[in-house]
Amino acid sequence: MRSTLTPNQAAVLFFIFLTGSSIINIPAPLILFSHNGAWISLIATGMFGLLLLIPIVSLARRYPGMTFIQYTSKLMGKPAAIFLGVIFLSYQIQMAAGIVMDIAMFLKSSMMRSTDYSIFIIFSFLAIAITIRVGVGKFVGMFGLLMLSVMVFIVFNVLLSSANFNWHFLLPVVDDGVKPILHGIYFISGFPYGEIVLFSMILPFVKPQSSDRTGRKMALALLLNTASLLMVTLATLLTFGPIAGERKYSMFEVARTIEITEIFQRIEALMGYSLIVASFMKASIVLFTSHITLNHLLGLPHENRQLIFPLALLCAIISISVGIRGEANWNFIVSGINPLWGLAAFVIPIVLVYFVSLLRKKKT
Amino acid sequence: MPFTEVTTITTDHLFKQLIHNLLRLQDTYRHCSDLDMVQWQYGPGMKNSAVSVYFKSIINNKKINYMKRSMQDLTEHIIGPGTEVTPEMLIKFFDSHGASAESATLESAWSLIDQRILAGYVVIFLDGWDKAICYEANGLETRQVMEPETEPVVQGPREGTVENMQKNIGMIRMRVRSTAVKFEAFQAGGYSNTAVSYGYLEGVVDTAVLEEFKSRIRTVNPGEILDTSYIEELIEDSPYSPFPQFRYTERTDVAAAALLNGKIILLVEGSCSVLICPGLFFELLQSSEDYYQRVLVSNFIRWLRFIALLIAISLPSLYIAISTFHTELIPTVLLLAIIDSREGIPFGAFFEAVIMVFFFELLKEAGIRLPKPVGSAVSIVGALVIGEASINAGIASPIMVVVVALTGIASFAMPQYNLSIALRLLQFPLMALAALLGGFGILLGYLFIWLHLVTLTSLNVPYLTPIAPWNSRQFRDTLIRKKLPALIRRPKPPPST
Repeated sequence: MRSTLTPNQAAVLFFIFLTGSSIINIPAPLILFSHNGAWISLIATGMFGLLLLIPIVSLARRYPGMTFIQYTSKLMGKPAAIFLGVIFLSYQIQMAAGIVMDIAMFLKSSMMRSTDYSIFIIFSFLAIAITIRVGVGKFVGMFGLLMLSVMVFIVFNVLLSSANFNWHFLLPVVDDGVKPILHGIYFISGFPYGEIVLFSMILPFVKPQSSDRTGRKMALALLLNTASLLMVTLATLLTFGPIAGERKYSMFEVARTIEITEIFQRIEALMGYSLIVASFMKASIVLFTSHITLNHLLGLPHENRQLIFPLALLCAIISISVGIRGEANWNFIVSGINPLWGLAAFVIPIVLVYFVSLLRKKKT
Repeated sequence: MPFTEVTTITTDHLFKQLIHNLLRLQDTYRHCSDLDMVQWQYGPGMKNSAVSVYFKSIINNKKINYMKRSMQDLTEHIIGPGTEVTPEMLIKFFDSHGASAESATLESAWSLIDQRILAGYVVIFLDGWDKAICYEANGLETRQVMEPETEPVVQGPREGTVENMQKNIGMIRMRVRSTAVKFEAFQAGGYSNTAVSYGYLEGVVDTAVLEEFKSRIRTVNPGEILDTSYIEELIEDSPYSPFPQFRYTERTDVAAAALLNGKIILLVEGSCSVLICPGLFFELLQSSEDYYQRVLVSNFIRWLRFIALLIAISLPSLYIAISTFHTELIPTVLLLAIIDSREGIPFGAFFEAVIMVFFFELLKEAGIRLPKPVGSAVSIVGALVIGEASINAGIASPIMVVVVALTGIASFAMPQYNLSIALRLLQFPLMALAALLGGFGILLGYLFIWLHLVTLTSLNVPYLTPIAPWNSRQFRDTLIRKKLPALIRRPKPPPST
């Protein structure tokens, strides 16, 4: 039986996808690029994300039960669909490999220094592959509660760290002009907002209902995500001020500063848990969609589960090979190549397909 | 020889001649020393023969002559004095009136008569009649209704089930006095041929679940059912899962509450355990007392249980992970205390934990199996003497003893015993993962357990309902218990016209 989602589940999955991993990873590079104007970049890119949601949701509504590959094939022909699909898949595989790479790097740099990267990568992909085999309708239920625990811990962390906040760190806002803010917008419009195009592969799983509120619920999830990212970015800025951009895994670092009496200290373990769990969930969603993309490219049905483990293995090999080249290379990929690749593989194709669908609609 | 003549007849029907019937009985019940076949005479000149057959081990002695007496009484009033009754008159009387006395029936099939005899009936055969009069005379002593030892409550009813199924059904019926309460019964077949009954509240029970239950319960027959747990294993969704997929109770109030919640309850003759199906994960963490206490108190206790669940499953593994891999996470003063207490211990944290947990489980098992007075001695010797001695001998650290003891206590806080066993079982793989991969390993272990729970079903109902999938109505009584008015099922008001 095909696993289906309710609109609420789709919105929860969307929030997890946007917030997982970015909530811990985004503040540092964003502040590095946009300095004190990071929050402006975030709000602006949130709006961009909302705009991008329009083509995704309306295409899903126009072609119910069809994925991005399927309606592209219908609108622009099979060769175009395969071409766009391969680029689409390449970025997804890169994303999955990258997210797990992040888990491994975090664990190695902060908690288990003498363990090899590959151990974390292999075990993470094993868990991810097993999760996907269970089916989207089931793992979304598991993710809901996990994400709730992550958000509770993060809010708890922000509340406790507020004792160390220095409000002067917020000023000056646009000291270096508008360029840093634009740089920040460019960076986060790739990760995480550009990535929402991936949901064009998940929306066909949503049960069709008479009053379709999926779009509204997803928009609400996106706004909640922007608010959460804003909260952690501001908390990082307020805690570290000028050096906030240098602090990798910002929330983890913020947690380290907490020391309220003898009881509330050393709570970075909670942030470690949050980072791993949130990244695990996001990587699962990405591997799930990449598996569906691969199925469609090869003309296999949705339900086919045979390619999950081979795909996970491929991603693990990519992760390990990137890991060998070191952290600096990885940082360059994330901040240099990633936004461009995301734009080319995700944003431009969906906008293109959307315009074609609009033109076709006018003609008919 | 008449014996061979009888056995060659394969019919299930009774014979007219008493001698043939007796031979059939003697053959079927050979080597059954507790079967009595009492021959007696009646009618003019006491010339007509009758035989009462019963198991003297099962029946109540006072009831043996009951039918004989009442037969004579009846016939005296209606067809003349007992000494003048001919078999023809008697047979004609019973054929036309039926057996009207207490729980008496007329049977003509051997299969039914055998069942009656085995169930503690007295069966009377008359010469020249191919039917038998059966009446219930079961006099086996059963246990008194007491408070169940496994489910004590501070406040609330103390009525527990007994080993008599009909009595249990009666006690449940007295709590839910509605015509919608249905109890369907069947015989489990096999040698034991145990009577099994399942009840539900019509209109409240989910019909799809009930159909699924019925289709599974059909597979039980024929089966040697000696306890309710046999049926559990025969009908559950995943027998290899450590998690129980049904609930048990020995309390009639819990069984009645389950009926009201749309559950199916299953009772087996000779067992005091009532099986409640489907059993969902969060229900295993609820106790009947949750509804007898004040809202705040019961919520506090419920959260205590959730925390106990986490402690029971993960405290030893967390200790291993933190003390082996993540010492930086422990506040300095505590870290120094741990290092100080672990000094001179010849084993690593993992081995120390495994040994301690293993011996703790051993003590627990020994405590259960031994007679009560000795059991408490074992726990004193085990916990106090051995624990103290092993610390003094430098084999175990005091902090490890604390960790293991807390884990044990936490597992005792589970309202359902089979859930606490599942937790005890799962702590071992988690400890191994913690020793291998530290906190990351524990996280992986949690994820696998969580995944398993998400995929588990009980009678096709997802095990983690109402959280995954979400059900806001049922959620009112999950992580928190709302006040009773919000929980009680009320009929929906008719739509306004």
